[in-house]
Amino acid sequence: MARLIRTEKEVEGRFEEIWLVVDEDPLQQWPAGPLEVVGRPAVRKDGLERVRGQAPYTADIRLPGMLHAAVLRSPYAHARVRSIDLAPALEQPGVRAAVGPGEVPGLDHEAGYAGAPVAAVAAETFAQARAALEAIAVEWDELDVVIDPDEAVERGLVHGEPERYERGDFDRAVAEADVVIDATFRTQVVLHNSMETHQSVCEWIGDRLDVYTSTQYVWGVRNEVARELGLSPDNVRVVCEYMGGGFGSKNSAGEYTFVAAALSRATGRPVRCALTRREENVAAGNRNATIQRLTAAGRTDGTIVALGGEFVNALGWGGWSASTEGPMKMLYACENVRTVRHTAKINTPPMKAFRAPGFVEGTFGLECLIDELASRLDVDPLELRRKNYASSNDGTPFSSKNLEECYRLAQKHWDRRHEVRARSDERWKRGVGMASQIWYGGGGPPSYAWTRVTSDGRIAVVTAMQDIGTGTRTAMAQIAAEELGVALDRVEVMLGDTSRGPFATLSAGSSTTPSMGPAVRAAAADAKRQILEIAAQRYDLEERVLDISDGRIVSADGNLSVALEDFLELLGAAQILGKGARGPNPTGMSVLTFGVHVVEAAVDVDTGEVRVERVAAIHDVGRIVNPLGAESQVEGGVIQGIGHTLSEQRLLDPETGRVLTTSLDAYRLPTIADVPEIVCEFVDRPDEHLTNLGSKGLGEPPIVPIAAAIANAIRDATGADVHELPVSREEMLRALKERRGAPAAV
Amino acid sequence: MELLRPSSLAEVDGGLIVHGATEVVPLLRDGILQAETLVDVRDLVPSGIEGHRIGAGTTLAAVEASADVPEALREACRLAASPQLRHMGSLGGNLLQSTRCWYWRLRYPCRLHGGERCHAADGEHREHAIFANDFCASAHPSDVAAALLAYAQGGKLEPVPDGLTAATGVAACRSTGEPSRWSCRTVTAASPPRSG
Repeated sequence: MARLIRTEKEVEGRFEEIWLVVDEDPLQQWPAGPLEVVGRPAVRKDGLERVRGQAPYTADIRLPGMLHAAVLRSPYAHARVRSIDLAPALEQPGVRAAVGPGEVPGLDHEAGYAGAPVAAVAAETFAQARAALEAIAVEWDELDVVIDPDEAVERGLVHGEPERYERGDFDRAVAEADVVIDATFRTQVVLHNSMETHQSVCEWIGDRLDVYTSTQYVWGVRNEVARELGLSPDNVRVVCEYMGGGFGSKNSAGEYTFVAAALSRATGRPVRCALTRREENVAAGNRNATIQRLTAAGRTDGTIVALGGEFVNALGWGGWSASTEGPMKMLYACENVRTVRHTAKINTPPMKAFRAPGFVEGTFGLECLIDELASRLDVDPLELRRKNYASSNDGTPFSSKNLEECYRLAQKHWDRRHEVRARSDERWKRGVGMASQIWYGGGGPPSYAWTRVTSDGRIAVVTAMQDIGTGTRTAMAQIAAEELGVALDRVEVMLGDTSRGPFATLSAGSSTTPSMGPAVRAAAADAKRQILEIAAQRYDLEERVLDISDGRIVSADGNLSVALEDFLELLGAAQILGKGARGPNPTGMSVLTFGVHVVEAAVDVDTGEVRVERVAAIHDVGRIVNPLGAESQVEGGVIQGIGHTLSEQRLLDPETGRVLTTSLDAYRLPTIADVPEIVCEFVDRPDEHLTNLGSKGLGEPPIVPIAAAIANAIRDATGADVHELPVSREEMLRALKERRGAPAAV
Repeated sequence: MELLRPSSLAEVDGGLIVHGATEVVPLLRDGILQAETLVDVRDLVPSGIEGHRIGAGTTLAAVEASADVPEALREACRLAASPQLRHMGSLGGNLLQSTRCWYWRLRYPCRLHGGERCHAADGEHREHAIFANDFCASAHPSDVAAALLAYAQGGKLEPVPDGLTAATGVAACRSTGEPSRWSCRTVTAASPPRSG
């Protein structure tokens, strides 16, 4: 039965209170541990299509008569269009239409950053479209430019009021503490650099608009496009069958979609608008820089008595302010916490969510600070973490928390530090560091799935979700196969099309598996119930003695055993249709994910080069559906985190405010040669309070603790406190020079 | 745009020469090079390793894999780009790369593009030359060039032989004492940009 509830909804650490219609979730959880299909490693169902180049990504969409769009962008970090003349562009070879500022959502007269979109043309080829941009005559009025986030806060150039939080008596706790540490941490701007750049192909069919787009949320794009263009949502169809990464940057429609839609309407032809790699590095969003002025106070017995921080999120021209202080509020049982977060509005490209926004940056600051405190208190860092273990989230109980078990699993990796340190030589110093992880990942309603069973014994899961590339198709098929008692290869998953399946949640905030998995299981259970109802009639048995196991319908007494596909022949053209919905989250509980990383790093004390040699990543995300897919997620997160820690940095030209690192040789993503040994371990205990599945999300957790764990390994190796990301040679050499008790420079 | 695959040098008449095309295609895409005709010379340029001679058409992957090649040169190849690029890129093409200076690649009107100033000198130049940088602060990007120069000079910093100057500029190399652990980075002025 559907129920109406008032509930708190969380996405990427942002909360809102909403009315929600939810279905009951009456299914009992499966027992813990590997089952027949769920909990066992499964290769990607679409792996072959992907590696053969047969999987249709948005970048592969070529519709008949399709035109190509190119976007004119502001050369100034802050300026207003005084006048613009599109007519000369329309005279250029191959050009069919042009749009200017104010005509399309996202194309504005005021450009708040160098690279802001102002106009676009559509032509027969992309080269013609791009060439035509040079014919557009723009007169600009340059405006005041602010790039420095501290200056922006001081001048009141901010996105919203400061966010303040306080519990206990911070000042008194600091005054009475045995040791107080103040340190400033800085994190850089990093870029998502999805393999598939942001892009859409739009085609009008009468009053209906088809949008093929690389997105994490087909329903979100559908609703946004309908709203902005004044269409009925059912007249917008959004398709994303395969996508080449998003990492949080593809949660909404984006101006490229509106450009393609407008130019398609103007020409009556399909239009493709795809960012180039250089544009992707400017205008596709970013993880914003932060400044974190932090305080930790402790007692000699290892109690953390106070934590405090002034955080500045340097947001750029747009985006939203993530909870950089979140880990400081949630990770430890500290009675006295005071934080304030400012959000600077500066003339740089807009922020977009990037894999655990806020918590990645905040965990770097906090977990480095905790290790510095441990060092000053002369307490083992793992011991300090155990001693200050939080048993509730600021008074709210956890639905499940197995961080203690993560620490237990980490012990053997932590114990390697004596042997690792002993492998140091004159030049290369080696050490081991750790950091804990806390983040959301519980997902939530609404989300729906259907199942369709046909007379050939095949099972289709139909839901208008999207597979961001994490292996969602495979995990959903595993869940349906488990519930229906059939082999994995009997199940197909049809997704990625708003006109072909019920509503499904966005693939962001580590929410896909915990939101969709229970709905898929419920839909499979509904189909199974119907199959057994029919079987009971066919064989004149009671329904309760029947089950499906190993692809066969069996009776409890063993007298009946018939292959499912043989039985289903009687369906003929009839179909069994199951439906399932995601039930509510547990009320009055915090649903969070936990983990710990233990890193072994080597530092060349002559040159400041840092190498990560081994990472042990241990995570507690409830039940693991596909251990193989889960390991891939952890490896990807760790590698992306190593890039964030050591090599990636968006650089701006200080004179013009333009992004300089716009290609993959200038913007240094890690390559396979930078990848260390990565050991993955999972606690793999279902969260007994969370849905019929007990699974939480794993998309974001693995990137959260890696930077601090590397920095703490650097400290263990050298005694140097690194405080800035990336840990460049410059930062490493600075930290070495300023380390406590360091010998005078020679 | 057309691609020619001539069977002898005599047939080459204009057009933009490409081998692995890992360098030329990005330059074309950025509008730094323009061409209507590309000439694929993979069948014409000497390739392979014989004693101390390495054909200009030998891929970095082949150099990396050859046991006959000194370790520092193999390491330099191994550190370059990615396996995919190393299987396409040639040794000759690697030495003829244009500078990776972001200002030049983004077509800022710098001296190498005929302008009046070096934007990197006043701007972001952390990855640029640390000496001999008055005219242009950019550095030659080739790790392989540094290794070759290190062998030519026995690991000491010396003036570069004339024949190599145009391609590689000056390289600073450091030896750690053991042959298998060289650190090599080019650190100074690039060759003048080539036109199409």
